[in-house]
Amino acid sequence: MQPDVHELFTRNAGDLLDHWFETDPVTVNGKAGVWGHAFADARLTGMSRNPIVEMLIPSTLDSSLAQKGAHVASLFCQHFAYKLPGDRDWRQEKTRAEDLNFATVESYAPNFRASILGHSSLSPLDLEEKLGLAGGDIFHGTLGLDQLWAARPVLGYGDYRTPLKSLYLCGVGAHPGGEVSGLPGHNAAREILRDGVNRVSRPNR
Amino acid sequence: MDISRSTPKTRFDMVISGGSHNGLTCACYLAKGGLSVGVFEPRSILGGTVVTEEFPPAFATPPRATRSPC
Repeated sequence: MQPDVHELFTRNAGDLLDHWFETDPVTVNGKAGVWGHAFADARLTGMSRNPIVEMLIPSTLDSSLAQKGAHVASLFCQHFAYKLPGDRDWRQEKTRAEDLNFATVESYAPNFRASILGHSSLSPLDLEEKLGLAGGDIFHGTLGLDQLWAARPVLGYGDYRTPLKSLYLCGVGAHPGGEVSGLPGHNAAREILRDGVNRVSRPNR
Repeated sequence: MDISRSTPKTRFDMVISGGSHNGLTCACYLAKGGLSVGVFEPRSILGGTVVTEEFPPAFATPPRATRSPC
């Protein structure tokens, strides 16, 4: 018999419970002091020993995502470096990272780990190899003030055009970057259409 | 549209490298603007990081569809 996962790990979740049924993710372990330690850990050892986790349970809104009586939880986990110190490799270290994240959630939501029926995870290396995200960077370049607007991806190439005629940037490396707005794609299309198909695709005609 | 029955095109006004949500968004607006567009994606599923994929035992979740990155 399948355990009632929902009952199992929400039973003791305290004030987190209220958030888990909203559409926004709940940030587990996101207290201000934790961020500094997490960052330092990742710089020194490759991963935070006490990671900050954004957690969402989408099956509360769409029951087709999980078996009956079960749920699917999505954990967005920080801080984990693409390059691990020394000769350590993400192929060997992934299990350790999973354990750290599960332990963090467990500390706020007892029974979480015991309620896991199956899981799938993506390390920074997986993000690169499976999804083509260079360096495991989900944003194709940091969303910092020095890499936004006209400076995204770099100064001089912020208008979706590149030094190569007919080659444009329409991904999150272009302004306004990540977080699933679709705007880089939209804006690139606008600039391509502004240039005109004859110039874009048939430069030699 | 029945994709399997259509003749594969070999020439386009514009091709998009990668069928992520931004690639698809770009392709749609270009098509709306009258261009013929080809989208090329190495994976068997479109959407980049914003996809719903099944993993055993019979759960489906996006890599980060709930608050997805790119």
